Amino acid sequence: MNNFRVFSDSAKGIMHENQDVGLAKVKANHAYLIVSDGHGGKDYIRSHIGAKHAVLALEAIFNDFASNYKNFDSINHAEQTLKEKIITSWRKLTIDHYINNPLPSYEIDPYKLYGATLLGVLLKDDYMVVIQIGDGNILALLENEDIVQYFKKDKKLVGNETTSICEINAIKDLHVKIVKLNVLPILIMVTTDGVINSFTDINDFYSLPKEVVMEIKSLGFNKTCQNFRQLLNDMVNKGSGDDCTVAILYNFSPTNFK
Amino acid sequence: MGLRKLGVEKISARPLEFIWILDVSGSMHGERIAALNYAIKEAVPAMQEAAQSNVNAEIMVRVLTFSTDFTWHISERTPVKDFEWSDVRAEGLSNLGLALTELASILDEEKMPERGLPPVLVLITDGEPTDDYKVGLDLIMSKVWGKKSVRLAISVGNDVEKTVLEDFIGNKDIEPFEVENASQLTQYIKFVSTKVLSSVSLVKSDAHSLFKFDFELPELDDESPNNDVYDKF
Repeated sequence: MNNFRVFSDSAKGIMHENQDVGLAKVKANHAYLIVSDGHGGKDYIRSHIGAKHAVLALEAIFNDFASNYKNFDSINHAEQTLKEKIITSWRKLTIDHYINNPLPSYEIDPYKLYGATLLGVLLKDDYMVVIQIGDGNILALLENEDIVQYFKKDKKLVGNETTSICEINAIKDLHVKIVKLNVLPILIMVTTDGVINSFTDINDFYSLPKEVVMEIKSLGFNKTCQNFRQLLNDMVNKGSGDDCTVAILYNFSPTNFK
Repeated sequence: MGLRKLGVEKISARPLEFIWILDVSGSMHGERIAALNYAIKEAVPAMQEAAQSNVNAEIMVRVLTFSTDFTWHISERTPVKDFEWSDVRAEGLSNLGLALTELASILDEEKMPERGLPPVLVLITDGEPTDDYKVGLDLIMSKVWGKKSVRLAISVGNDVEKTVLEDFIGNKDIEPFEVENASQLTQYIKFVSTKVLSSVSLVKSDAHSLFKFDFELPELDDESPNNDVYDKF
């Protein structure tokens, strides 16, 4: 994964402490991007912790998967196993935290206190794993310049609604896809919903991966990261006002970097 | 374009529809309609101020009135900074069902902004509907945006059938506001125009939850000085 550079950043929303968590890492043989968005509000008072648990759980699962997964004959089974592992790991971290930090008079399902979304991409040389529960976006810019969004938004979810990893039936709302790759994407971008909700025209959001690539080519990776930081601040101050988080993976391979 | 320019030119607050549904039937004639006109006029500056400090929601106002028929008193989505109140007059029957049916028609998915916040629908009425309001309400609830709208109701005086307002609100956590005089009506109208709007714009809900109040109800001024705005309706 020598040709890859990653970047993640998060801007705190206007109302509360940041309940988003973002992570981007490149390792010797794989790379991954993960973001999680704690729901906030009175019912989800520990959602910032739930978001951290979600990222921690998925990071461990991605690392394990990247080392051990080889059998492409049973993709459906692998996807199902990943789903179960993600939910089980998050619930384990969460209930352990709750047992150590109980709220004696709380009557609702303790998992709900920690409600969060979770989006992630694991990239290897010949495949990619894409996972999502809840709102937010995963976009990939392919070599032919097509933008791919792996999971479309559920049209029944409007306003500020989202599905959540805290739900008892979360596994039904958790999407996992293993995508075989002949050519690696130029750029992968994972964002929390504060980002898309900041754009007046949704098409400008979908053009963001291309903008990032053009900027990297003209200004370099580090300067682009700085400018993206400013863009996240603009989103908070003039856009959705929500926490805004991004994780980006850029493929510096010579054919892309013309 | 570049990321810096994108932040300047392509980012904006999320649209939030705020719709008044006002009963202008004959029973509102006189003191009540005068109080309603006064209260909304009074609330406009507070609403504009709240909108200014809530930079992450672009509040758009519309006003639907109903009596024997419905009328869009303000039909276009009007930015709150441009919102001006012109008085409404009261006469005729109280066909709430007709108004709700009309309201349902604007809550279609394709007519609502995709990144919009849940619309806020505020019903103000003083009596029992003279038609089958459930037909219109069912239509609203059949729409995704209708189901997720934040619905509030203010009952003017003591003649209102409370169950109608509870049905409209559709959320046991939210009671109808009962007002007995013009002063209380003004306070509640200001309250829903400011605090509720701010709250709606930032609370996130899971797919199965209804909107929850994230603020305290205002304490009504119960003093009754010698002033006609404190006279009971």
